[in-house]
Order: sequence, then structure tokens, then C-alpha cells
Amino acid sequence: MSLEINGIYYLLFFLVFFLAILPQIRLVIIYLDAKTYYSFYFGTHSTAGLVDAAVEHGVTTLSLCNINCTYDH
Amino acid sequence: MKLCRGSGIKLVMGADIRNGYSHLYLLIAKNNNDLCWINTFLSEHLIAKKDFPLVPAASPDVFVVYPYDSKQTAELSANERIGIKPYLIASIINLNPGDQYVIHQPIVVQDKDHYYLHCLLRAIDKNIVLSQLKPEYYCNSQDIFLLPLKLLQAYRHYPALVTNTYKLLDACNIEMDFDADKTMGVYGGSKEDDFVLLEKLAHAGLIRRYGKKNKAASDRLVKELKVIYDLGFTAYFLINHDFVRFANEQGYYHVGRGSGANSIVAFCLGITDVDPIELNLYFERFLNPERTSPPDFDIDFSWTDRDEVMAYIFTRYGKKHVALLDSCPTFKIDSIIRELGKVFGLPDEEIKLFQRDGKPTCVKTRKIQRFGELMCGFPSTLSIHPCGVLISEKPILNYWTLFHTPKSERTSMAAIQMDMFTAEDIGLNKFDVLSQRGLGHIKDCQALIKQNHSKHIDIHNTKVFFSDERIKKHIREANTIGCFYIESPAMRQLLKKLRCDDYLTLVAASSIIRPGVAQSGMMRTYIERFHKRAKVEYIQPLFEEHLSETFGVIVFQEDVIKIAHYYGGLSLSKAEILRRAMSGKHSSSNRFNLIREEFFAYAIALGRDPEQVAEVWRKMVSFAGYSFNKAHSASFAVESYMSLYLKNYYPQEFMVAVINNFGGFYSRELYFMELLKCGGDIHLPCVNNSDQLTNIVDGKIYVGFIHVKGLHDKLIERITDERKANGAYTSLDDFIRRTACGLEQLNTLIRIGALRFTGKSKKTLLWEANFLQKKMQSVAPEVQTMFNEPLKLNFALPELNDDAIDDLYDQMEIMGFCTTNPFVLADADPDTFVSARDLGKHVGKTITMLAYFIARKHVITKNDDQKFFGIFVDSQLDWIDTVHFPDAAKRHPLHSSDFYKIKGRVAEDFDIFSLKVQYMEKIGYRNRSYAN
Repeated sequence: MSLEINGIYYLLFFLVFFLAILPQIRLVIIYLDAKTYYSFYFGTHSTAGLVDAAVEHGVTTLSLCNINCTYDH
Repeated sequence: MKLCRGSGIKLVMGADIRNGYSHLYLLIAKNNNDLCWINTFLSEHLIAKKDFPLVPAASPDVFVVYPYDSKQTAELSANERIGIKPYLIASIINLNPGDQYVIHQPIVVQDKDHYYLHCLLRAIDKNIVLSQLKPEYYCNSQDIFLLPLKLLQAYRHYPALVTNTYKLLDACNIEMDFDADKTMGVYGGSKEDDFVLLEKLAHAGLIRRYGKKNKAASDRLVKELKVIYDLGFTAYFLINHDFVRFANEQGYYHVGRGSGANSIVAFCLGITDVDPIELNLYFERFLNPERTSPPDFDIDFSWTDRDEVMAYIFTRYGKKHVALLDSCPTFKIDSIIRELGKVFGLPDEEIKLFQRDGKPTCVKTRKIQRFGELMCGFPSTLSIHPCGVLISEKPILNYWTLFHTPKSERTSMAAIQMDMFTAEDIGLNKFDVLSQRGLGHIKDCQALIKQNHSKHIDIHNTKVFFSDERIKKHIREANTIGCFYIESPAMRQLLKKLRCDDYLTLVAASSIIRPGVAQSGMMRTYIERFHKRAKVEYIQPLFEEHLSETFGVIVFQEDVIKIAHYYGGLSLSKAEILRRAMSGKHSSSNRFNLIREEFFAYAIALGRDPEQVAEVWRKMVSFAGYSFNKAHSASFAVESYMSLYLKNYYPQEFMVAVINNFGGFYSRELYFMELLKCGGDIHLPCVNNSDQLTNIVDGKIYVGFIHVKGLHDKLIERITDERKANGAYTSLDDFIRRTACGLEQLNTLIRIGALRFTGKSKKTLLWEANFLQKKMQSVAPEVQTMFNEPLKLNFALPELNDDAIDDLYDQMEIMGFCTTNPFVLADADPDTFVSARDLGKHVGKTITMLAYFIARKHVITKNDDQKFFGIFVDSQLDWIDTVHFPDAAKRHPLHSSDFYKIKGRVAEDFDIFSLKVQYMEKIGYRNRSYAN
């Protein structure tokens, strides 16, 4: 009987974990040196394109390091 | 930062420090102070154009990340790290992963295509062909976003690196309050003091402008002052007033325009010269309580004075708080083809052919097409905004880096790596200090009037000009060549069609001429309604109520706001956003689309007919991109009146001033023709009378040496300085001795007649000059000055006469124009053709004219055909306007300056005559005589 109850608990736990908790977990993805095309004649990402790509790759922190400037639009 | 915030990403700010292509280290800011430190560090090196140090000077907090192998961990300080790239880590043996190693995965490109594009960009940057690109010039193909698992897998043996990187970035936190105004907010001691000062200055100006008893003006002033204070723009007004005051003290002219010219406070402070009550200017276009950005003041100074005003701003508010704005031009199709063509080693002809046709014909051009599409919109360089300057409350280096362009370096005024849109986004409002040539005309003309007539003209007394009958006549006849903003062919036609002779019509004309109104077909509607030839039918009674002044036509930006607000039901702030969003840059933005939806929804909810709403929207959109606000048009019209007054009463001084300031719609040749028409007694350059610029001596106008091609500035300076110091030149020999003029330059001066004071023919002078030069060369320069006796010619020349036609050819070759009526050179008899003055007698008939080409406007029709509008003059220097429809344009292309025989049908539109060209041929010039 207790085995059956434990089984239900386990089932419930896995259900909650897979359906509710797991989707909330994000890997902490960080990049130290991202450039846009304001690294003139070097980077090929537009500013919006870089952010979109970062979102797509699940990036949580992005360090913008253009060449010899802190410039970006 | 805004984008990252919106996407839930934490943004950390830093910079990749490089000398050339050599990467030295990354600087990463922990906080805003660090960002300021990085900006200062970068600015110091960029402005001084010196290499970055291999190790940055000590900073308390900034993280420095060096590449692997450039430093030993033992040498590192607390904030220094070593970054290891994922493709290197596998090859590193015995790494002892302490706290000082971090992951360094650069993100440079997106994919393979972009990697190739990156290589192309590197080749463009190095100005080499692709095959010459060395590996150190470009990045690693792995410098992309890696899949998270792949990244973690690369460092699986060194999990400490992941933790270290996380710790580093976690320690960083940059704050930016986008809503806070960062423009200098206090002019004097405090905001309250500022308001007291503004009130005092405004009330003093009120009495000066309106007298002591003008309730309407006084009420409006009080209302405006309150809104200005409530919205926090007191310092903004005082700063604008401050540099205008400085300019006035220096005797520099200015014109204040922009939406700020709707303000009575600006009028009373002397920032503008437009009376908002007289013109019924719309207060809400200037400021409304819902508006968060200040009104625009575009303040024009003469191109000769503007840098001085800028220098004052830098000195007065401090270099730490002032910077010029940058602008960032982007690659367009033509420049992409040119640059990629060079990288692929295409010959010039093929590049030009591809630019013209756009059809790829080989592998290289196909690659250009493919990668060019990816490159479209990439920023190409950093340059300086033509007029924007920032004055910030906190030191400007808190935000971005400073740099120099060659021009800013000359004036020692640094620019910030921030364009006007970014500045606006982060709450920095720019001040617009512009340069224009129209004010240069006015200032120089006044100086010439003072010199020749000993008179001072009060040019700001414009109300007198508005009622001057002589000026009215000249506007009606569009006698406006050289006058600010109203000299172009299109404007002259519009003035004639409107039979404009008053200030208010000129204000409307200044906006109607803009492309928006003209292209939407509303210019014609306006002219028809203006003459009451067409009954004015208002779409809605609302239109009559708000647009009756412009006969129901949307002419000014205020009209868009009024319609959006009263007809479309948008709030004033949304109407203003809509007006701004209609400009080219924002017209496809989401914000614009949202407001469009709101406009339709609200208008239909108010019971408007959906079709009518769509039509009103179309009219607003087609118009607004290029429109002026009424105050701006009024400011332009004031300046137009100033130049009209000067041109009418002092035409020769005015045209000389126009010529000396260069610029303008037409060529120098036409301005000299106009000077001739004004009765100017024009003389060729003369070493005893001319200066660098054209001058007036005892009523005679001497063409300036600046118009003589190939004459060096230093020689011009020597000629004029020596003459002023030691008197007129007495002979050719005297001239050569005193100026040390070289043979080539001497020949040019002789050919243009600059030594005609000798009374000898040009041919004789050329012989003598050649002889004297050789004699001089045989004597050392220090000895030359010891000889005061003229050198003697030991030969006798036969009589060598000049020829009038040859002289004119010399003028054309050396100056690009002649100082007499050019028809003397035409190889045809002008009297056998119809003159421009008689066109009215031939309406609907086909006639033939002899015409000299001045300018053309090239238009591509809907069917992709070419059409031209030509501007010519006839032998009496009267205007001929021509229209070359595609068939005629194809058969008789209009390319270069020449005399043309033109056959066509005379058309009339609102009493303006033009020739619809059927046939055209070049007549050419009379042959040179080469007479002896």
C-alpha cells in the first residue's frame, strides 16, 4: 500500500518537475566579448541582431566590447 | 542597453583595446565610474592619436582581460584576468586554473557567410585585395555564438573557468536611467535662480518687442514661462540665449528657427525674430505639457562665424561637459559595389558598369551582389554631425568616448561617439548651431555698403521691408537670384504663380516648395485655392476651422498635429510623436504603426467615414516627411526679406557679397551675369586693384584672384600685401621684382589681363615676361632686390595686338566664365530668334529660341524614363524654362554648358511660360581668330 502511495508521489514529483520546474531552469550563459558592426570593418552583427541572437542562444549576460570604443547605437 | 533590458539580458559594458589589428586586452566596467574611466582612457589615446599601452594605467576597479600567453598569472593584479578561447584550451597542457583564468569566446560573426563578409570588411579596411589578407588581420571562424552545451563541453576539464567568468560578469553592473534629462539643467546657481533670470530677460524683451501695454503678448509670455519651468527647460532657453548674446556682442548675425521659433519667450529673448502673435503660431507645436523633449532651436550663423560661436560654447561650459555629436553614415549600394569591387580586384570600368547596370556578369560580381546585400546598412565611418552639440550636466565621458576628425582637430573641439538618436534616447538634448552662407551674404553686403556709401543698414528692421513697394514688385517678378531660400527655379516659379508680394504668402511658399507638398499634388491645389479659381471644399468643417489660413491644405507641421488631434482624436503628445515618426527614419517603425492604428480607430470611433480617414491619412503621410513648421518657414522668410531688401537697394554690393560667399543654387557664372544685369561695371582681375575676393573700388567691380584657376594662395597674398605696403606696381619688371612671381603664374596673370595697367598687349607682355624671368633667374634672389633699375630688353618686338574673342576664350579657360554677356561668343545671331520676353505672345505656338544653358533638373518618370527641366537664359539674360519629356530627352539629351537652338511649343501655367522641347541642337561657340 505504502509502495503504491510512494509511487504516486514519485509520479507527481516527476510530473511537476518536467512540466513546471524544468522549463523555468535556464543555463547561465555568459559571453565576455561581443561585438557589433560598430567595431568598424570587423563585427558583422547589427545591435538588434546581436541581441536577437543572444536571446536565441539563451544568453543571460552579454559583455559588449567593441574595438577601441564603448560606442553602439 | 534598452534592447537588452527589453530582452531580459544583462548588459555589461567594455571595450576591446587594439593597436591596429593587434588585440591587447579587454577592459570591462564594473560600474558607471569604471565606464567613465574606460571612456577617458580611450578618449585620451584616440584624441592624441597615440598607441594604447601594453598594460593600462592602474584603475581601481576595471577588469582587464589579457589574451593567453601575454602575461603570467603571477604578474596579474586583483582585477586582471587571462582569457582563454575554447579552441585553444584543448592544446593547453598543465593549466592550473586559479581565479585568474576566464572564458574568452568572442562574438564577431553570425555564420559562415558573415565570416566571409568579415574577411571582405577587413580587406576594405586594409585597402587590399582579398588574396593579400593575412591571418592576423581577421578573426577566427569560431568567433560566433556557440551552443551552450558546446561551450561547456569545451571547458569541461576546467569548470573553474566557467565559475570565474560568471563571477567576473556578476560583479559588473551599469545603470542608465533613460528617462532622466541629462542635458545641463542649471545655468546659474540653481533652477530657481535660473527662472528668475529667464523671467527678467523675457519681460525686458517683451517691452522691447511689444511695448508696455500688450496684454495678449504679456499673457502668452506668462503662460509659456510657466510651461517652460514646469517641464524643466529653463536652462535650455538660457543656454540658447547665452550663445546668441555672445554672437550679438561680436557682431555676428544669427537666425533662430525650428519649432522653438513658435515661442514668444524665444522672440523676447532675441533668440528668434519671428513674432508668434502676428503669425498666429501654434503654441502646442512649441511646447505642450505632455511633451518630454525640449523644442528645437536651429540657430544659424554665418559660415565664417559659426566656429567662433562653437568655441565660445566649449569655453563657457567646459570641455568636460561639451562635445560635438557624431553622425554615422552607412554603406549604400554604390559604395558597397565600389569597395567590394576593389577587394575582388575588379577594374574601375567594370565597377562602374556594375554600379550602373546592377547585373552580375561573373563570379566576382555575383559575390559582390550576394555579400553586398549582407553589408547594406553597415556603418562606414564616424564623422561629425553638421550642427549638433551636447552640453551635459555630468561630465560627457560618463556616457561615451570622445574622438577627433581632421576638422574637429583643427578647431580643438572633440566629438562624442554618439549620434543624435542615441543622445535623444538616453536623455541628452542637442543644441543646434548651424552654419549657412545666406547670413554671410548679408553681413558682407552690409560691410560693402558701409565702405561704398558710408551707411549702416538696420537689417533687423524687417517690418519696414514687408511693406516696401519696391520689394513687393521684385518678389512678384521673382527677381530673387542670390536671395536666401527663394532663388531656385522652382521657388521663383512658385512666387510668380502665387503673385506673391507679402510676408505671409512668402511664409506659406517656403513650406509649400518642400517636396512633401509638391509631390502630393497639394502645391497646385494650394495655388488654385489661393487665387480662388477653385472653390474651396473642406473635407470637414473641422478643416475649415483649423486650416482656413491655408485653404484646407496641409502646409505646415502644425497642420498635421492639428488634424491628428482634432480630426483623428489623438492626444497632443501622440500627435507630436506621429509628426516626428512621419519623418523617413521612423516611418516604418512599430511605434508609427501603432499610432496609425490608433488614428484610424479613434477617428472612426468619432464617426468619421473610414474612406475619408484613409484619404486624410494619405495626405498627412505624403506631406509630413519633408515639411517645415510655420515658425521655421517664417524665420526663413525673414531672412529672405533681409536679402531682398539688400538686393533691391544695393544690388551690386549684394551680388558681390553673394559671389564672395560662394555656395548658392547657381554657378559663379550666373551670379556674375546677374551682377551684369544689375548694372555692375565688372573688371577683370588686376594686380593693382584686385584682392583675393571680388571687391568694389570707386564703383568698379574687380573680379577676385580667387577665380583665377591655378593661382597659388601665397602668390595672391604677396601681390596684395606688397601693393598695400609699397604702392601700386609700375611695370611688368617692377611686378616681377616685388612679388617673385614664377613664369607659369605670371603667364596666367597676363592671359587674364591682370597686368593691363602697363598698356601693353597680352602677347607683348608674354614675350617680355619670358625674357625678364630668364634674366631674373640668372641673378641670385638676394641680389635681385639690390637692383632698382629696370632690366632692359635688348630686342624690339613687332606690334602684337590682342583679339576680343581670344580674350573671352582666355576668360572662359582661366576663370570658367566671362565678365561680359556670353552671347558675344555664340555662333549665331540672337536677333533672329524669339526672346524670352515675347513668350507670352506665342502661347500654344511652336517657336525657336537661342538659349545658353544654366542648369537642369533630372527626373525619372514612373515608366523609368528620363525627363529634364532645363534652365536657360536668352541673349538679354532673361530666363527660359524648358521641359524635356522622355521622347525629346532621349533624342536630344541635355548635358553640358553651351548655346542651344531650341524648338518647342510655348505653354502657360498661372502666367508662367515654358517651352516644351521638341528639337534641340548645340550651336557652339564662334571660332577663335588667333589674330596677330
